[in-house]
Amino acid sequence: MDIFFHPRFTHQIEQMATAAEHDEVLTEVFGEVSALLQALEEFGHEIEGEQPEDASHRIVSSRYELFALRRTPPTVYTPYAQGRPVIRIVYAWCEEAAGSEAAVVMHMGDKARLGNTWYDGVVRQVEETMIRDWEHRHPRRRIQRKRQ
Amino acid sequence: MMSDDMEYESAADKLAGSSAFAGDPGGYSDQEWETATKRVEAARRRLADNPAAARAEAETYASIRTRVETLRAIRRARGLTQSQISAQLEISQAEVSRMERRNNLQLTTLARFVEAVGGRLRITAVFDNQEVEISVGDLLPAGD
Repeated sequence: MDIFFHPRFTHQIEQMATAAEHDEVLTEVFGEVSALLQALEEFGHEIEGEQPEDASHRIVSSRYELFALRRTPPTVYTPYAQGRPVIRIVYAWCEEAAGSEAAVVMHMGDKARLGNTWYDGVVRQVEETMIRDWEHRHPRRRIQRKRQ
Repeated sequence: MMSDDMEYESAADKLAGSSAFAGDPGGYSDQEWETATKRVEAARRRLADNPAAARAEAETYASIRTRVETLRAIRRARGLTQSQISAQLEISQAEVSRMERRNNLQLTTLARFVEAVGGRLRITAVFDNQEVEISVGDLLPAGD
């Protein structure tokens, strides 16, 4: 599965890598983030699901087919997983030639303090700015909208 | 002495404070767009030799892979396609695909899936000196 990256995410993971080189805890978090990206590349849609333990889930509030990779997924014991970095990596799917798909990784953030309200601002920003910029740069790789 | 949670919170604060997780500044140059994907790969390689990062990456990836492959393995072992299972269960092929992606199936869902591929779900509670087979029927809500 092909994966492309928005420059925004590129900046973020570069900063995380720099911070992780000097912080033992962030080193492990970086490894987990790297595994999520690898799993997305390897398994594509197969990691997406509706259960708390799924590695990725659909962002229902968006009009696009947006998903979020999850580091520290919430469980029945820690529904909001407070206190640790609760990393979410927002990505979308775009059409490729010959009917195939590719993932476009957009943005990474820590929603530990904001809970699910974190998505409000991120979805707005992704929809209004980042997808628009992506499609301007990649007119043949349009981001999938949700089917009505 | 700090707890693990406090250490994690401190680490997260460092990132948040560095503006890494702030809003999208936009205005990226042509070069930034063209090199975005290669630079992510380079960033990941920077910690490839770090034992702690490599261990965390390997464990996380293995966990995800195990979940993804569990139901795929059952279906393939029985030589059935998603279409055949969807016909058995009288649901769409897309729903079968979604079932296979889930890693925390309800017991009823898993039991139906196993029956659709020609098997029967058995659960055994294993103790130090005893094993007790639990009837799946006892665990299912009335009507299932």
